[in-house]
Amino acid sequence: MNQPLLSIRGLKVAFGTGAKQREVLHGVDLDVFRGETVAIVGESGSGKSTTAAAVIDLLPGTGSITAGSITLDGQELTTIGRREMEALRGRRVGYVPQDPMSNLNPVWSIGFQVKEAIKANGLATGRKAVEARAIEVLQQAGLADAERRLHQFPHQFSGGMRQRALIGIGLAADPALLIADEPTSALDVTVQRVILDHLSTLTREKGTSVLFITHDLGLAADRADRIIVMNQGEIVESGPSRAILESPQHPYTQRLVAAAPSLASQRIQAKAEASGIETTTEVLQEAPAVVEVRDLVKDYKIRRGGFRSEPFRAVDGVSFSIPKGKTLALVGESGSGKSTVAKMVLQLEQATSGSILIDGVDATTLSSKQVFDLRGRMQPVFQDPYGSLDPLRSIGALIAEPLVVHKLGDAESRRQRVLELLDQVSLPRELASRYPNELSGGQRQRVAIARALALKPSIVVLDEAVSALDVLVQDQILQLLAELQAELGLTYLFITHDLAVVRVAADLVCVMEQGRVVEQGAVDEIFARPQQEYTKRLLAAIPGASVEYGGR
Amino acid sequence: MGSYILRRVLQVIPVFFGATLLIYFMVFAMPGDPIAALFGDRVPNPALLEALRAQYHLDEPFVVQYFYYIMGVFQLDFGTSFSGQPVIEVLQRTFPVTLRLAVMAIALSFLLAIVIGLFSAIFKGKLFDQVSLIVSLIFVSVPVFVICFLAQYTFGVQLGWFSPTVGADNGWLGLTLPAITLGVGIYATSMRLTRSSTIETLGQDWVRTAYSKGLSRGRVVPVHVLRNSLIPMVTDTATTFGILMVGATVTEGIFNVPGVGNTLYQAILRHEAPTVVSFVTVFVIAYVFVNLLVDLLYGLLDPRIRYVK
Amino acid sequence: MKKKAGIALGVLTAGALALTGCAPDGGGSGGGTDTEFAIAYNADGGHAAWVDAVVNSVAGTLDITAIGEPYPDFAGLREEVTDRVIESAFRTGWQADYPGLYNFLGPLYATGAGSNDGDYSNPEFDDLIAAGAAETDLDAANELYQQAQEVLLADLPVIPLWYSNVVGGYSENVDNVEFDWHSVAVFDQITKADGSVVTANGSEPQNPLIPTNTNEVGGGKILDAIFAGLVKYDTDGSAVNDVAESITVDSPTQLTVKLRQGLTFSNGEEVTSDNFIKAWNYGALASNQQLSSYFFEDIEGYNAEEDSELTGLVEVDPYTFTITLNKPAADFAQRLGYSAYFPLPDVAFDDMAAFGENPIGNGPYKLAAEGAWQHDVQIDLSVNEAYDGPRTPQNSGLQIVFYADQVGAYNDLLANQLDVLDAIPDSAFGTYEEELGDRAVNQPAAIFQSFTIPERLEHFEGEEGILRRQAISMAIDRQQITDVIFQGTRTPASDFTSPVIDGWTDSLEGAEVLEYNPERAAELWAEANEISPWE
Repeated sequence: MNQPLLSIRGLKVAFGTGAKQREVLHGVDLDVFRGETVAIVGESGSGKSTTAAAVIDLLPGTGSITAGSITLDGQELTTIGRREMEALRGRRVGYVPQDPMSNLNPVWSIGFQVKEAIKANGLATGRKAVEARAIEVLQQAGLADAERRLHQFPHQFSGGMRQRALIGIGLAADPALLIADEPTSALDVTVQRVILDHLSTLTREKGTSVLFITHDLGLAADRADRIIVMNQGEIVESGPSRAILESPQHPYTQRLVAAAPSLASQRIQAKAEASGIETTTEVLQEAPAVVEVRDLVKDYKIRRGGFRSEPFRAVDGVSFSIPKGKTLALVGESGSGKSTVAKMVLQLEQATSGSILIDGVDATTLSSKQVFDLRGRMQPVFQDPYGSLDPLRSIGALIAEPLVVHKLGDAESRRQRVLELLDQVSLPRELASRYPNELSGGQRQRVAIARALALKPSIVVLDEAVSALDVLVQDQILQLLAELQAELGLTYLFITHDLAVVRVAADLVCVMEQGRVVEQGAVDEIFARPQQEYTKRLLAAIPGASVEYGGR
Repeated sequence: MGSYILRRVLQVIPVFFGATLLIYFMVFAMPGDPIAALFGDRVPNPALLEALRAQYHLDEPFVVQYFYYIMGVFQLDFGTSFSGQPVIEVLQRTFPVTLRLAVMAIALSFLLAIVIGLFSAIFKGKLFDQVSLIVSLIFVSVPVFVICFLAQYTFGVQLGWFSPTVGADNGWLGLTLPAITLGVGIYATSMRLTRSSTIETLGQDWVRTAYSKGLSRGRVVPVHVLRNSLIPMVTDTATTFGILMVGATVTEGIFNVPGVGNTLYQAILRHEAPTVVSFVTVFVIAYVFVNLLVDLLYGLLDPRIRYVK
Repeated sequence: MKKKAGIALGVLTAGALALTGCAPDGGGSGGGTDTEFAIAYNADGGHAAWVDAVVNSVAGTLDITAIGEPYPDFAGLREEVTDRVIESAFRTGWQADYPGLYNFLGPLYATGAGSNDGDYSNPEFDDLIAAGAAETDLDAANELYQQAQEVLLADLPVIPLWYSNVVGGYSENVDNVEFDWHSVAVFDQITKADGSVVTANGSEPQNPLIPTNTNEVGGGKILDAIFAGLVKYDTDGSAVNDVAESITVDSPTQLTVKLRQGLTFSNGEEVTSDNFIKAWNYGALASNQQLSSYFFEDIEGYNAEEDSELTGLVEVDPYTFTITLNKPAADFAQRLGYSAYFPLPDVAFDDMAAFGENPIGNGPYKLAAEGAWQHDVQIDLSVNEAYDGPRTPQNSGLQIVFYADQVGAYNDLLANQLDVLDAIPDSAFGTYEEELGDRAVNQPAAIFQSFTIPERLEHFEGEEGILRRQAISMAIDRQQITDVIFQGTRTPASDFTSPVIDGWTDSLEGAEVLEYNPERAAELWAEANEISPWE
């Protein structure tokens, strides 16, 4: 135990060549001891994934190690040849990638891709033996009926199943070290929990060391013995998980701890329990309902080959109402129907039955002209700040677009409004002449919010609007939304899969499962006294529950 | 699967009627009297003209002419050319030759395009890639007939490796030179397509994952890169096939290949509606079937779009 | 001449107009109607270059607007010409069926003649032609035809341009290659050192190989090789007896034909009078719709409208028959070498369609085997041992390869893959003499090219029309165009026939109207303008 299994010293990594070379890791030192789980935590761009990729020489594109050493079991890795590295990968260092959707080759069966790993690492020979071993690997990874699943293709697997297959592949050769790069961040919270539990069990049994990469401090605290916090290519702080959480030393770590929603929600939970909770009735009585959804139903036809089709009920009798100036969060895992509800509220989809009252008017019966006017009062903000902004138009033009579409004001008044909006979302005015690719993810989401506010709407539908953002940025955007709500009296319909965010951002919550609302009420009430088993499971899955919070 | 294929095959019916009607009308609407043109500058006897017109139903209104043609087709009689040959025989004689030419051209160019494209992608930006880019740019920018003439003169006349024209020697071997020149026209596009799709595939997460499993490059490239990169190529095949059939007309003329292109060209000049319509219709139907084949192959290559659940 | 009519070819016309940049007042920017002189041509025949050159020459010399008027294909142009609706001058050409002066004159310019596209009519010309047709002495007849040509030179119903040459060549493998009056190599004379069959270019016959139903060169070349007629033509165009023992012209309307005895078809069947009489009757019968039926129209009993026997053909004995004509045609004996007059074996009449696919003839060659005709590819001919006559082959056989594009054929010739080529492609006009050396051939052929200015066009009738035609004719620099555009592969015309025809002369009275003379052209044009201004 005295000699670390993995030891990184003074690691520098740069992308590009010659004059364009750009260093992204500026001297990283870390150790992972046998049987230990070490988490690297940081925001995107912090260099945490690059560090992991450097270990197995899989830096993307033009990336290369410019200085430092990486030793595994005392063997220097930065100088070994391609074949030696190929022999080392899989067998001595396993790897579990981030996104299960894109990490399996869609044209080969799961069995093929597992067997290939087994053969490459010489774990079994002969068709029968390889197949038997593949089934074993998948079973260990927690895939039920692995034998049948062997012949299926990735697209026939759910995200969780794929991630199990990838974990199986990563652990197939019983490697001494497993690199798990955000292994569950693309999965629903409950699935995430089950899979991480399973991974922990497996690695504990086999004594595997784990280098765990995550952006979620709560998650890291739950799963790792030690935490290493990275920021902009450097390690800012490292130490035992508990110590980092309870008394972060570096200001960056302190901010991170303060902003992490998983931790924040635990905090609020604690406070609420201490000071009494706000009830549903209280919230609803504060103001009249602006949005009222009654018995909303949406059926889709699913084609079953030939000319047959069968109905599929995506939304099943959903009712809720949002008082003016309040935020209602629709929460659920993927496939729960929450986004379909949002689309129907926005009049982007026709409801099969039920009604949607906006300011008391049933929106399902409006003419197209009325719907157009309605959209002026109700604006969406979507998840992907990259995809929803046209890269060929300037920020000013993008923000002014709704004004142009609704033929409001002249060029000068539009310009004034754009500047005013930039002020409102706390962006410098100079950005009006810039283009989306020059902006960071958080800035882009601010632009998207500014655009949504251009027509001075009373209702904003936020569809996973902060899900793609790093914790610190997420925290800022949530604060901005709260300020705007207070200032402009906005009403929010907040769609999210992240219960932790709900706790920080919403007044009311609707928990959806398979198209139905299983439980709804004031956030405090639901978090303090969940009635339904499903809600309880969701709450339990929020990482960081085991940790005492610190900071501030 | 069966019902899917059946549905696709049934689509041929409206395509058949649409294509024949449209093309028949286009030939009908061409100015000039095709029968009088048979006599060159000599003005034939009016009685003979009338008799010949009647024989080919050219004295009837368009609808009647078309009706005669369609009725014939239902009895597998595609009409006769002005030279008295049954069109079906002309089709049987010429189509295999052109098909052979097209298949050879596709096979040769795709084989080369895949190999060169793959290496260009792997060595992106290196000398190999740059040279192959320049070569493909030359190929794509020089018109087909120039390439044909050059090849014919260089390899046929100067070097004497091939006979300058094909003629009776229209088996697989005899068609080598025309197939190569025809292939040159499609090589460039296919090569660039392979290259770009390979570059895209090389950047896919599953490729990195494959390496992380401990697979060697010799395995990752053919198994995890090539197969995925081939999918857009296969889709492209259908379009290429169409382009080839057109390019074949030029190539066939220059290399004197007794295929459809030249026969069709002559028939158009002579306003031989039954020949033109039958040929083009077979083209269209062949195109529909190639598309079907490509779609089925697509499903075979990419399990996500298999047609049975 | 054409008042710019808005027909569908407007775009093409505009393009051609742009080429005539030297013409004043071009483009019609000034007020009033702009009178143009236009020559219509079919764009599928490679005529654009010379038409543009001719109209430019005319426009530059006469200071008028002149344009080429392309029609997409021959059929379209032909229809407008035949229906007499064409509003401009148009290109015309004539390839002789047999080497006689009459063939270039009677069918084209006699009043009411079938191919008289310009509706020319001059009694003086008609009389001279009729007198020539009635004259049994060939030299005397030719004298009358030349006088008729002098009438044409005065009236210019068509503007003669040039005679097409046969531009060909042969490979290093063959010797004794000579091209005849008909632009085809004399195949039987060719010798090949290695003893293999001689290969020659050709084109897929457009019709079954039936002599009376073949009116184009692709099929004609094959028929000439596998059949023998009563006479054959020497390279200079003179007729020599082949199957005939003798042909006597008893009167301008009566001939007696004696056949050589003991000649057979390649299937062993003897060639008798009956084979000619039945074949000609087959060709003439209206219901048989034979494309060359008009070759029998001068024979008594011919009827184009309904079926009728050729009563003018009478068998005297198995080797003698008489031909009675329904009008004087003293050159009839001269015509008899044309493929329409070939005999047919009895087996042909059992199933003419099958015969057309595998013809059996009496000529120097025969089909090498059943199915020797590979459509669109080639036809293989072997020596017909049964043939006995002036055309006995000096080689082991003949393979006629059908080419879609002459460039391929030319490259085959250069590679010695093809022995004889009678049509060097335009693209090689500049280089073929250098590439082939003394194996290159360039000699006049029996093809006459011209353009017709119908008399019904405004400004082209009567005295004014004659002046304008003469002016236009003299405004064309034929020598320069044949040198530059055709690189010497055309010969400027000095009459309405062809130098390869027996009786041709270049010293016709009035032939100076075919020489380039810009000053005189301008004068004549001005004279015409005094009668009626060109505007």
